[in-house]
Amino acid sequence: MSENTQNTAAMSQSMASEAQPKRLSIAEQFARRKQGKAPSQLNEQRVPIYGDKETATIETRPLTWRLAHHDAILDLATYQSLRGFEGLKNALEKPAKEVGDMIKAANVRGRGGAGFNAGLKWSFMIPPDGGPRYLICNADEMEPGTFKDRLLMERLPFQLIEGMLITAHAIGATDGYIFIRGEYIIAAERLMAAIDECIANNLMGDNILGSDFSFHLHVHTGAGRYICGEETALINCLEGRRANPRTKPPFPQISGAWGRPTVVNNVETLSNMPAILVNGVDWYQSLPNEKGNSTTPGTKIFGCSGLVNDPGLWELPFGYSAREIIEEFAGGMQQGKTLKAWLPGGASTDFLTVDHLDTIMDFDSIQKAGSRMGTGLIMVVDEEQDMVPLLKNLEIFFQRESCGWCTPCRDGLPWGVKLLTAIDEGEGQVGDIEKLEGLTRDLWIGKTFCAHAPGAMEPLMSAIKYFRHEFESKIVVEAPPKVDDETSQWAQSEIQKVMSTMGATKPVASTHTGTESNNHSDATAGTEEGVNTAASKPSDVK
Amino acid sequence: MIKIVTDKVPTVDVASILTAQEIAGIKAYIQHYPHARAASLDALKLVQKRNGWVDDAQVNAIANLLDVPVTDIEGVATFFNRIYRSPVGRHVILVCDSIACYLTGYEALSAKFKEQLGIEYGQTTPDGRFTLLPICCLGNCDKGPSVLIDEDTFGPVSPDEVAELLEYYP
Amino acid sequence: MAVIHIDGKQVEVNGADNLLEACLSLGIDVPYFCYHPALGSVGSCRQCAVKQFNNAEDAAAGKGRLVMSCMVAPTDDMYISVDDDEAVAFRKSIVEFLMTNHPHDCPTCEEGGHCHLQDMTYMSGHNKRRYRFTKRTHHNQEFGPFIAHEMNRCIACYRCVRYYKDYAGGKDLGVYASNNRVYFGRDKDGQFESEFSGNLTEVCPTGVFTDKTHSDRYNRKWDMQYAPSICHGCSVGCNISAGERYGELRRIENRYNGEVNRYFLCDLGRFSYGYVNREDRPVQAIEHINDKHVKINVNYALDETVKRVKDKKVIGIGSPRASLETNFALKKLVGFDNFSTGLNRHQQSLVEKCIEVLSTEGIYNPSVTDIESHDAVFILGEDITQTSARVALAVRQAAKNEKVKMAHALKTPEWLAEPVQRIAQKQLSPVYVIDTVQTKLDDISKVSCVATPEDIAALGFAVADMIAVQSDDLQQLKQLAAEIEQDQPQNDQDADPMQQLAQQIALDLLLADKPLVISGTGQFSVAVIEAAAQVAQALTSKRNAIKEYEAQQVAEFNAQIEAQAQNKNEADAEVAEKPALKQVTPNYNQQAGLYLTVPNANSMGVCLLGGKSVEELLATEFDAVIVAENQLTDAIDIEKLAQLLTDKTVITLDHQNLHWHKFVDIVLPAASFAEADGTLVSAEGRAQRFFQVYDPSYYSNKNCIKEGWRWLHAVETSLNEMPLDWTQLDDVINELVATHPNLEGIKQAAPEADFRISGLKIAREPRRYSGRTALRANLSVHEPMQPKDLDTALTFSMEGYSGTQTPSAMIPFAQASGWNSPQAWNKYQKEIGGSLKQGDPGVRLFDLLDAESKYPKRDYIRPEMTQPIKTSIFQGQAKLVPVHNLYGSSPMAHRSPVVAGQMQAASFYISADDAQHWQVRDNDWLAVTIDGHRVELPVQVVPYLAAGCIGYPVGQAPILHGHLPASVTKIDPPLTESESGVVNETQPDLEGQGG
Ligand SMILES: Nc1nc2c(c(=O)[nH]1)N[C@H]1C(S)=C(S)[C@@H](COP(=O)(O)OP(=O)(O)OC[C@H]3O[C@@H](n4cnc5c(=O)[nH]c(N)nc54)[C@H](O)[C@@H]3O)O[C@H]1N2
Ligand SMILES: Nc1nc2c(c(=O)[nH]1)N[C@H]1C(S)=C(S)[C@@H](COP(=O)(O)OP(=O)(O)OC[C@H]3O[C@@H](n4cnc5c(=O)[nH]c(N)nc54)[C@H](O)[C@@H]3O)O[C@H]1N2
Ligand SMILES: Cc1cc2nc3c(=O)[nH]c(=O)nc-3n(C[C@H](O)[C@H](O)[C@H](O)COP(=O)(O)O)c2cc1C
Ligand code: SF4
Ligand code: SF4
Ligand code: SF4
Ligand code: SF4
Ligand code: SF4
Ligand code: FES
Ligand code: FES
Repeated sequence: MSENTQNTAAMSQSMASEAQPKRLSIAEQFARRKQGKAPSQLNEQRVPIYGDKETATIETRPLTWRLAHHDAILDLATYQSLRGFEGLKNALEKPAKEVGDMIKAANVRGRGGAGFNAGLKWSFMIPPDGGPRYLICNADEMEPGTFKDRLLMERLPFQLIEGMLITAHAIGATDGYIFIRGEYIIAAERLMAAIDECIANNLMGDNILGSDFSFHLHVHTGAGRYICGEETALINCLEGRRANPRTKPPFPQISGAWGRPTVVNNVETLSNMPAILVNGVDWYQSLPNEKGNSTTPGTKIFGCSGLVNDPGLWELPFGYSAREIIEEFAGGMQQGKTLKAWLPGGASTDFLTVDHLDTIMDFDSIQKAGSRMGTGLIMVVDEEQDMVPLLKNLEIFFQRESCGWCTPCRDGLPWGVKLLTAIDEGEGQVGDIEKLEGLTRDLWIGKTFCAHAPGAMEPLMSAIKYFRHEFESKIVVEAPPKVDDETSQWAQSEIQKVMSTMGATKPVASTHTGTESNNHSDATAGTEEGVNTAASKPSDVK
Repeated sequence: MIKIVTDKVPTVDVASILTAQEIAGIKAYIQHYPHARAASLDALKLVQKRNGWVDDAQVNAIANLLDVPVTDIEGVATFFNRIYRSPVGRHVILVCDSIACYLTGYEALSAKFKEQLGIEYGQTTPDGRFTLLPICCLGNCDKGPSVLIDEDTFGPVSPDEVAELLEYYP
Repeated sequence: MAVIHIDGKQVEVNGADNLLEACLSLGIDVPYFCYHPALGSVGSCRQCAVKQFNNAEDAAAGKGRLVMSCMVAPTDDMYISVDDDEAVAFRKSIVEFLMTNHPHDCPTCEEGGHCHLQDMTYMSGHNKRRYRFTKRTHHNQEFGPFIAHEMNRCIACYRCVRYYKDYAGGKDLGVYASNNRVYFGRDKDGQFESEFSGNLTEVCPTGVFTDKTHSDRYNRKWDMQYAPSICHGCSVGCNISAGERYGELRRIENRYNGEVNRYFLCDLGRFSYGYVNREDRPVQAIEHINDKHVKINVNYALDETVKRVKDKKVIGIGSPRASLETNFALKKLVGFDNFSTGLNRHQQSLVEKCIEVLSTEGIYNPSVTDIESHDAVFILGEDITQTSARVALAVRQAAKNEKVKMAHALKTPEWLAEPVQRIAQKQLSPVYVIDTVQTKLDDISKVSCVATPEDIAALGFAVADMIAVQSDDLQQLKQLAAEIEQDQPQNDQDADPMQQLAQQIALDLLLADKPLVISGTGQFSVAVIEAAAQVAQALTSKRNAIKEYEAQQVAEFNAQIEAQAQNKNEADAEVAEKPALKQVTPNYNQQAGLYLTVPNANSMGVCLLGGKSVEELLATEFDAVIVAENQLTDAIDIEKLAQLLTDKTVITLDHQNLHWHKFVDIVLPAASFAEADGTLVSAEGRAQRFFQVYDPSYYSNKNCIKEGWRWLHAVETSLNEMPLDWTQLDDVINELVATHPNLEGIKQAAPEADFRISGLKIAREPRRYSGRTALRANLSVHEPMQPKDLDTALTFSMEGYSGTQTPSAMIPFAQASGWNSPQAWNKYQKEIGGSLKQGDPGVRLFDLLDAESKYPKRDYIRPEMTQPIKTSIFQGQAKLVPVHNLYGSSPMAHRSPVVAGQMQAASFYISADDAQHWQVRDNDWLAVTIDGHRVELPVQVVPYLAAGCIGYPVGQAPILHGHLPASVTKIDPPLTESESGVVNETQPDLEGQGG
């Protein structure tokens, strides 16, 4: 590492010496698993998710403060001993409408990525007509770089359930589903066990806690496919159909699962509800005051992955900058690495650069910087990374996960992958970058059926914007291939021979025409040495 | 005398294809939803537990049990990448190839798996022990590169730990 | 209606349509793939993008956003642009995306030249390939003899699955995998189960699904000669476009008729034309001399015919599959009293009963498209999927009306296909099916049941009675229906299930906005038809009473409100708002519909023309009989026929070489529908003209096929030494209507022969038809003139008018500039998916009846229930019931080799319950003796069939009078096929044909 690198790197070095992140060996991983630990319990963060054990309370770290007391809260008694279901009890004392209005006023911005005010979303539900109404928890979490919902479910299952009960009460839902990705096996088990315990204690089922509120919650597990995270594709999957997104409007609140009014919220969004019902709207609104840099209410689970010293998750009030998260919480870049770019919240957000590190991590400021906060889990890219294969990796993900419903996404993404592959393998052509840019226009919001393809375009667009030179440097401007020279010489001599027999002195035709008009043919065909023997040539020139 | 056409006549003998337990399990899943169709994926996953994959007869049996066209079940089965419609090994190794694991070096890891097992993605070792496949982000990005073997998530896994890891899966 | 602005022009569009439909209706070409007028929009292909602006200023500045026109409803004062640069560029990109994986197949692709993808690619301006990488490839499946599969051509528009599953109710076509590997096909190789699978070839905008019967002798669309024709497969009267090349019928395509088949045919209609191309067709006259059939020339044939019938007592037997013109020519030739309809007594009484019912006051029979607008359907004893398939497809749409209503309640338009399905889930409008067999509609029916024909009639009458006794108060009826729905389980034991069912049906039919009863001749039971008529009548009169009662209630209520308001006004004007006045339920139709099917394409026509039954006529004194295009053994059994024809002179005109022709002295080669013009009357009473596709004699001078009526007129004029005064079809029609005023309407079925557009006849060939001058080059290098069509305003040529001004009944093929695929119908319609520009083809004869010529309304009486016969295998006693099969029941279909090749073997059907009682199993053999006939067939056990009955395959076993008592015994399986009683028409008696 050279002396004069960015201070990011320098800082990381100093941090690294302080606390070496602990890396579990395979044997240790097995041992912990044997003890019943879930994957999210295996990370040993230098700064715990709840921050400081002393100051973590329901007021300061409403989502994760309980983890300061127990590694995971897996039984009802423990949860209740830590103010569990207080929020629900408060909610049940209020009419549904009041709870909904509270949450709307609190402005809980959706943590699934889009940041839509949850209470406002609920208010679009059509009025009850006696039929079933659904609340769905989106626990599909497959956005690359995102691992927050796993923790909330594996370690705080009752909190999510309580959040769902409060929400169900507010929107008049009769049944609920936690749609959880198939790979989160322990999370699903823990949620099911928690639900069973709730049922046994009148916290779930008919007439909950003696009220006239009844709610039935089920866990539904998926079987892979990122698109299931899109809320309407999720509903199709839940109904046992192919996970293609659905037409909007009508929105799920009007006609969702099984055609009935439905609300879909993210795990983290729903996990916010209990504390709001305990501490109130004003408290929730005041949380960002801690830093004073943001007006977005509440706390958020931020995180960081990539080659940092301490990847992990931290619950923080809004107002922290990306730099603070990367350097103070994630311990800065690993030794010898320099930050080059970062994704603010998952693979489907635009890259930002070192210049944006001081941007506050909240919905509006990140958007102003030209990206999206997405899931708020930062991923850092270091200087050693070549953006072309990196983008290829991202785009392979998106093309593989396309649901195959609409043309631009289904057929455009593979083209993008092929272009990136060609560029990466030295077979890029002039115009390929422009074609990629064309894709970013054609696969943009409103032009595709859902937000999957635009999500795929965000990192691509921003990568070309900030790192165009890396793409360009890989495209060798086509020089006439060697073999073509031989051919033209051969052809010239052939023509001369013919001409001479005809008594003409000079060849009439220029031999260039052949190669010029060949510009659009497959580049690989003519360049491989040894493949094109002279014997195959005459017809080409004619 | 009129006779009401009621029960759908099954096109396959469900009881000879699925075990009593599987049938009971699927029927229990159906109870979670307003329409039986919703249990499609649950049923496929349940049946897959037996052999690690789902064969044509089983797809047919599920369709009969749920009273939906077999083409719909097949449409669902083939949409999702974790339902296997052809035989797999005793253990399925899924290597995360998404961006965080890319940054933390999954390529070397998967190369090691391929070398160690002598197979490419999508293949099964000749002894039928392992099938190797890529998978997208396992939500374990802070511990990349991550691997899912059967129901166990691991991470980080370094290439030189591959041999040791495989030992746990006889 | 909405007033919108498209590219600066202010236009008025139908607000119930989507923007794409609006544009297309205005004649603006917007490319599209996933949208289909019958399937609605799903927004998957993204091809139909246009730009939408917020207001006029933004429009002027070009500041807007792309929207998919198929997913947007036009609203007043909307500004859009189709020509906008970004929209144009995006549409070009979309086709380019599709083309990245599309093979460079056009030269070898059967879709070429009528390919929507080709058209849209060109329309979108994508003409330069930039994609330089490999294409993804797929395996293809084997779908049997009708449809080919080439998945590499798929552009994943999802139309096929949406049509097959959502529209046609099929189950065995699906979409598999995801991302750009999505695959459309069956779950395994094999023939499609749906009777409507052939439409995939037209619904698919590419060459993935193509017509295999055509591929075998393939030629381009532009190289075919077409005629507007009418399907002869059944009595529905679907409009078809029949294409010919080199003297062979090569393809049947759908021909749009907004009131009948719209975009879809059944597979029988599409694939069973092969009988026209049979090698063993009599193309020359044949004389039966000393047990040999000898080919004779035209003049001799005519002379000989005349000689043999001259001064003899001659009778004539017409046919329900021959045109009105041919039947009339025969009727005229032999004298009106010596003509038979070609039906036996029982068959004729059935069709006449249908005519009688449909000619009765207060009866309304809907067209096929109209069927789709009904929201409760009661199907009484007719397996429409097998006997009138296209009607079954219409009923499937009718069942979806509940979905449409539910969607409307959530402000979701009908064309938004996915939400409509999602909102309604499994909800359907009530459809009740009662038949002797389990029908294919049981998946959409609220209750579907099996019963004997007697019980079917009894249920019909019970429903009618039940309707009559219901209250006139709709609210009360609703309450009652809800109560019944709730405590059904308890009721089960005490109540008579038939009465219970009848009540349920009665209530649903009364509560619906627009109920429909469907029945027909399928049970060969007059009582069933009368029962259906009785239900329809009872419904209409009760619904009138209900409406009247409601009007009265509303008037009373409103009067009260007005009075109160007035009182209040006087007292204190400000106190309370006036409660809303009530309105009579707007959608409640008093009129109930009744659709009756009949057996053959022209059963209605021939019976409207009138004649004796076959038995009656053959029982008269006669020396000679002339039979026109009749498979007589369908009306009378072969032994009886042999007896009756002994020592008689028998002349027949036919386009098929039939088994019974061994009794015939002279066979005159008659034209099939492909070589003739004529008029048919469909089950709904729609008179429609079909036109000659080609002149077979152009390809072979030995060929002396002529229209039946021409032969008959020639015989008549020679016989009576009168001048040949029917030189063209119009002459026949004129004389027909002069003598049969009840058929006067048929004159309007199509324009006459002297019709011209700008002085031009209508071209049967597309402009680009090639090789005309070399068609006969293998025979002679001389180029003969194209044949002249004297009979009609069509010409056998590409020289003539071609385009959208063509009268609806005379459009030979759909093509418009830039539109070569079947989507070109857009250009011929007033509004997308609606009627054709000049009205839909055909004249509905029953609508033309004035009040005086209608029968007065009458009550049909439930027949006395005689002690029903029941099968008892042990006592050797059998009760038979007819079982119909789409192909088997059709007299011509199984003469097409491709169709015959895939047909299920004939068998007797027994229900699973009875099979158990009778100890009969699959593939056991039974011998049934009925009407002096012994028929031996294997048994097929089916899950459901009327109890105590044995089903026999109509058309596949020589059983003409299934309702007669029969005896049955179990027998050992015969050693060879030929021992069975089945007449194998696919290998007819060919002796004597060699000469
Ligand atoms: N690919 C292909 N090439 C062919 C042939 C083929 O079959 N295929 N056929 C060959 C044969 S046989 C022939 S005859 C030639 C025909 O070749 P062309 O003579 O080029 O025939 P058309 O393509 O019909 O073009 C005639 C042009 O005349 C215009 N036109 C029409 N009426 C008038 C008029 O009154 N005044 C004027 N000034 N212009 C008018 C039309 O708009 C059209 O643009 O093509 C030959 N070339
Ligand atoms: N609507 C419309 N009609 C037109 C025209 C038009 O522009 N529009 N153009 C007119 C003109 S100018 C012409 S010249 C005619 C052309 O009309 P056609 O003479 O019908 O011309 P082609 O369509 O080229 O068909 C030639 C046929 O000859 C066959 N053929 C090729 N080589 C041989 C051979 O060696 N022996 C034999 N026996 N057959 C062979 C080919 O397979 C093909 O079937 O069309 C005229 N009609
Ligand atoms: C392709 C795609 C994938 C998505 N994946 C997820 C996901 O895994 N988890 C999630 O909560 N939301 C995901 N979303 C967002 C959801 O559609 C939806 O907006 C969210 O669940 C709403 O919850 P919230 O309002 O609580 O954020 C995804 C959206 C798209 C377009
Ligand atoms: S953009 Fe289109 S193809 Fe891609 S996931 Fe969304 S709906 Fe599917
Ligand atoms: S027109 Fe079609 S067949 Fe002819 S060269 Fe071009 S691609 Fe090939
Ligand atoms: S489907 Fe159409 S575009 Fe594709 S190869 Fe066939 S004809 Fe050409
Ligand atoms: S097979 Fe045809 S109809 Fe079906 S999706 Fe492909 S192109 Fe569309
Ligand atoms: S329903 Fe009848 S008329 Fe229509 S296509 Fe089928 S067979 Fe022909
Ligand atoms: S990217 Fe591999 S676990 Fe998230
Ligand atoms: S036609 Fe509009 S999106 Fe396909």
